[in-house]
Amino acid sequence: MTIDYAAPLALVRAERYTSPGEPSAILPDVYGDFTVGGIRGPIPAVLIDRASNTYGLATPMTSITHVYEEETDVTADATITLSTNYQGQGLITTISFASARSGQITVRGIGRVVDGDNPISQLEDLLAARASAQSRDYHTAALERARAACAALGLTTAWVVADDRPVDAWIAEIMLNVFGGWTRTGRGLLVLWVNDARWSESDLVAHIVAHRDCVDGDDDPEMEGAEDGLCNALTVYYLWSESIGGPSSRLTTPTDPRSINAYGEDRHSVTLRGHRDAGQVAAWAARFFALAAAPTRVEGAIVRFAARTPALLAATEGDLIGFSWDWGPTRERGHLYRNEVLRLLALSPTLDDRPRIDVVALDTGRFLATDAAFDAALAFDAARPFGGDRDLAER
Amino acid sequence: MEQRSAAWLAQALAGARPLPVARLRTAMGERVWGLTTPEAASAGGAFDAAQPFDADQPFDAGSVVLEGAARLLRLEGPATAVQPNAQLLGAYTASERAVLTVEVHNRDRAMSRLIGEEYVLRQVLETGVTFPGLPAHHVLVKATATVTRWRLRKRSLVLEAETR
Repeated sequence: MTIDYAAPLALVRAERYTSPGEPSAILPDVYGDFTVGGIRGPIPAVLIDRASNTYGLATPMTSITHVYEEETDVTADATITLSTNYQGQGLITTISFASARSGQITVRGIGRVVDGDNPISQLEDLLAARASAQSRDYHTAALERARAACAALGLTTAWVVADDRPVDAWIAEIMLNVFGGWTRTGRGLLVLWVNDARWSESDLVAHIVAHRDCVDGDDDPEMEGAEDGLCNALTVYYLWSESIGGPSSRLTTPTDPRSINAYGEDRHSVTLRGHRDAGQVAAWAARFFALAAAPTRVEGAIVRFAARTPALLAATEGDLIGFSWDWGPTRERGHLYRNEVLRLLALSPTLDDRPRIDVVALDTGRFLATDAAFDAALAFDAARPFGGDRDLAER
Repeated sequence: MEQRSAAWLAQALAGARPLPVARLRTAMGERVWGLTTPEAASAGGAFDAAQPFDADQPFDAGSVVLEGAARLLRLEGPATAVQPNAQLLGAYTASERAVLTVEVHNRDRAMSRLIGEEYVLRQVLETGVTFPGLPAHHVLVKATATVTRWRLRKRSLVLEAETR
């Protein structure tokens, strides 16, 4: 393990240059497209050389379209160098002026583009550059699955990284913006996942049938739903501007009408700092409601059980499993609670002479199309619809 | 003093054994649950002997549920919150915010259907007391609360509700 999750990111400060404005000021790392949003530029530049009126950004930018002093466009007065080894301190972007400027200098443009602005690739790049992360720090399969999920969802994010928050806060922030989650395994590997991404049967690490695999059979599982996590209306702030330290006055208010009809409105607000596109915010909210608004009553419910099967020995938090428990909540068209897809949240193995693994899992609201959980040797294929005919259902 | 029916009062004066009752209302209908213990059954069992409980009551989505079942395993509360909730003005008044717990059996899987097919969170749960043989509308309601949590197991369903 090489990542220190509690330490702040090792960001570039102005003090490494000879005549900075404020030595402690952080030169922002910039990822993604910041061409829209706000009146002034969303990316603040930092004065790194008072003698030459030069401002800097830690990232060699892809492009800069506008430079602002406060809310005045001063692009014509600025000399922009997208990539320069300034004072031999490494490649940065500089913006220079002929005369001294009194107002805040901000820019609009496109920062570092990694893998088409895929949020997972941006996170990987950020951790490699500023937290000394290496490939061995990741649960590789989960990383690639999360990356592919973001690509399939068409998610692109943009970040100005310019604050002292520790590494784990940044991971949480980025995973919130993809509506995913993260954890560390016992071996210190970073596991990332994206909620409600498309998954295939090969992503399911095990099939638990309660009466076969639980310590007390069907008596063992307990499922819990609570109003604490319920949310069916959101006020979403996005188009974050690091220059003003807030979202640039855009908000949307997506709701889940079915859930509101059932439970009443439960509104929360969220700031998605990485989002700059209304369509993506709407898609994010739709995926969020699919889990948090409990539209079919069990999404987001917690399932606890103790498994005696060795099948879960190799599982890690964040993995998906198939779960069948005939005493669970009835599902669509009267189907029993079979082949539901759960996400493992916590695994506590007891490895004595009667090994068991205490599991806490989250109901994703999804289920397997074919009911093959009763025989581990059975292949999943569309030709086998036995047991519940759930492959005929809508989802 | 809370309002009681004449029949209720007559039973009380006659020293009949009181039965705790829970009533849950969802958009699909109403359920009134009484005790299932053999002891209670000998004293009248299901609180309405005139309407025997049918464990295999047919359940179709959309039909109105009017369950009067000997299903109650446990009824706690309202347990008054000991510590005042600082976020709630006036919470220093006792019973301002209290928690009820109702446990009902699930041996016929009816509660699995309830959780799976009806919206239970935030619905009204009432607890009250009645006497054997009285119809459901004679129940003396002691607390009205909103369901905040459900816990489903093979044997039973636990509903937690808060008065608000």
